Amino acid sequence: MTFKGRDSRMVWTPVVALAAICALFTILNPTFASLGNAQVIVGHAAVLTLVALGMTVVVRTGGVDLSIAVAVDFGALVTVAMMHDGYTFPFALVGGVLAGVLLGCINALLIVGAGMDPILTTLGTLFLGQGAQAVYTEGGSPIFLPVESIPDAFYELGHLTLLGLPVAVFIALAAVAAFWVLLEKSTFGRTLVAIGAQRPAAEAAGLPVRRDLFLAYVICGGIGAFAGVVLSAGVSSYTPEAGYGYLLDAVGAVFVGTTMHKEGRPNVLGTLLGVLFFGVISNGMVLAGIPFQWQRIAEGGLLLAVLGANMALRRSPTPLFTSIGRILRPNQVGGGR
Amino acid sequence: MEAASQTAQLPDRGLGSLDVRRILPFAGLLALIAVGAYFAVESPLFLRWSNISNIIVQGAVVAIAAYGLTLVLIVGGGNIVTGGIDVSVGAVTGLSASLIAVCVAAGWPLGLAVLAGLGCAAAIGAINAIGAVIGLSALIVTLATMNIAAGVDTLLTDEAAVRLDHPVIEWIASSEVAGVPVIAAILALVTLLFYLAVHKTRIGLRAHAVGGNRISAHLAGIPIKRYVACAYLACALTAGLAGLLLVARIHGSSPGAGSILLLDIALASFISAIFSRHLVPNIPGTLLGAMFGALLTNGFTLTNVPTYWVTTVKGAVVLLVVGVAALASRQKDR
Repeated sequence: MTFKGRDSRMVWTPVVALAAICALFTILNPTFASLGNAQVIVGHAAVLTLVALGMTVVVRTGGVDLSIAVAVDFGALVTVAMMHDGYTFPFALVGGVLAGVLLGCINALLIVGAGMDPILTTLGTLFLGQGAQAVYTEGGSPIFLPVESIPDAFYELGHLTLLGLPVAVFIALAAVAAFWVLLEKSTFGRTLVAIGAQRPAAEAAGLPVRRDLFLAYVICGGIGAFAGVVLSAGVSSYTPEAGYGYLLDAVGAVFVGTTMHKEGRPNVLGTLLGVLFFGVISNGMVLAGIPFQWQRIAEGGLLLAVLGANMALRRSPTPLFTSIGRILRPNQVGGGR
Repeated sequence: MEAASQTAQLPDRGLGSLDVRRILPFAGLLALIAVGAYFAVESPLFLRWSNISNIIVQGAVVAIAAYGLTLVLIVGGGNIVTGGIDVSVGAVTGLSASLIAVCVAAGWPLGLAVLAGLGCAAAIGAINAIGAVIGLSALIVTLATMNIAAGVDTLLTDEAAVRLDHPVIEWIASSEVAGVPVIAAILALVTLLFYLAVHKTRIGLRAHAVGGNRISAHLAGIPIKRYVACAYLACALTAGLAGLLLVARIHGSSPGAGSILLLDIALASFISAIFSRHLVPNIPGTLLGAMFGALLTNGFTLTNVPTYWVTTVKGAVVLLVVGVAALASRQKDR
């Protein structure tokens, strides 16, 4: 039985779909196709890109990190709180990222060390982090930085523009490049693939499974926190539970992205496309005059549509690359372990 | 030397000779009683019947919604790597509550409003069921439907609370039947029904089989897809029913009331496994878990601890429970 792999047409479907959606929105409101609007879309997508990159790493291992929403919030919280207490931006930035790294370590210890299930564990840390935030802020009030005490670097992070695009966009692009190298060109990335595909085999082959899986969750927490810092830079403040909005979109972006890969593997470029998908949808809906409340519904619907289309267009009877295959179709008899 | 005698010993099972799984249910109950005792000591009001009945009423909504989630967990296989979960239960409860409240406020007869609420819940459940049957990841599908349900909920209530004044709802909320609050009576009835259906009927047995070993169940002739689909559908419908109780309890609806419940519902369902010898989610354990959550909230309120501590504690409990269950089931495999 040969492994057929994916129908090569699949790789372009999402891009075509994105173009079609853009065309639709342009019809609904010609402003959609303007350069200025493109800049807006891209600008807003920066934070989501960072979050989705972290999620890509973890999903590649066959797991998921629901607590990344909390990582985002912790990053924002610690950074803003530190600056509020007088620390300079570099220290605050390190502090913020460390908060996410710490969360990632907790997840990793439980998932890799104690062997707990990623969904339940990160759901638990999500709840716990929710509570921890509330405890720290004593009820969930935002932290605002008084204008005088905003460090220049922080302000520029949130407000400087180059070539009409916010600095955050370039940071996100740099992150995309870095993660692409990490996942596609390094042994770490290949180990992650092996973990996701068939973990016992990877362990038997002597790959550093536990170490790399641990690192995966730490990286996810770290970049999530970094995303939170970037997010807070835009508004020079910390808002509790702002990270939740990114959770669904990040997961969705990663899964949309898998449709671009020949073998259904989570991949960096696909994730980027997925981010654009969600950005286009929310922007287009606003321009088309659709009320904001419909956005959540549309995003949920989009995710379902993508999953369904993915399933329907699948031609190969054999299970796909098993990590994403198992996540997308966990109940297929006879596949995987 | 000792080498000879050591070969005759049983292999070390980690925690010495303690079989964690056997004492777990008792440890769970003990913990529940201990927490209750702590609150009773810290606050004289705790043990009053009015307070206890308050706890039961608070826990009722969560318990009923959690029964559905427990069913999904059972059918999916308690070890949720490949199996079932439904994170949309909270949102569906809230959606159903909002829909019922809005319809009643618009003048619909209560029966029709309830049908609308349940119908909406069933629609979400159908999406979850279809997704599960075609083999999609339950987490992703229910994450999507959770957002859809929450979005529709917001749409309906326009971010404003709806206050109702309907005689039947008031009766459910405030009256008593044979000395117990109506809600408690409804809870007892639903609990009994679920317990019998899940643990005492052949259908329930088969549901456990599907969760225990899907391939074997399939080979034994059980229609897997039907059971999985029905589990998700039932879960959404019970969430819808819980929504009706939610409307009664808060006399209307309030934005986001459903989504907040997810933590408590998940806690109740996850913790239920701890109360059973086989570490399988179960209905009585779910009831205990729901009451535990309500107990925590109530106790903290009475002892003047800020509410956000409750969330933290509940989150920690979820992690603790999942961890203990994972460790205990690993011990079993040795």
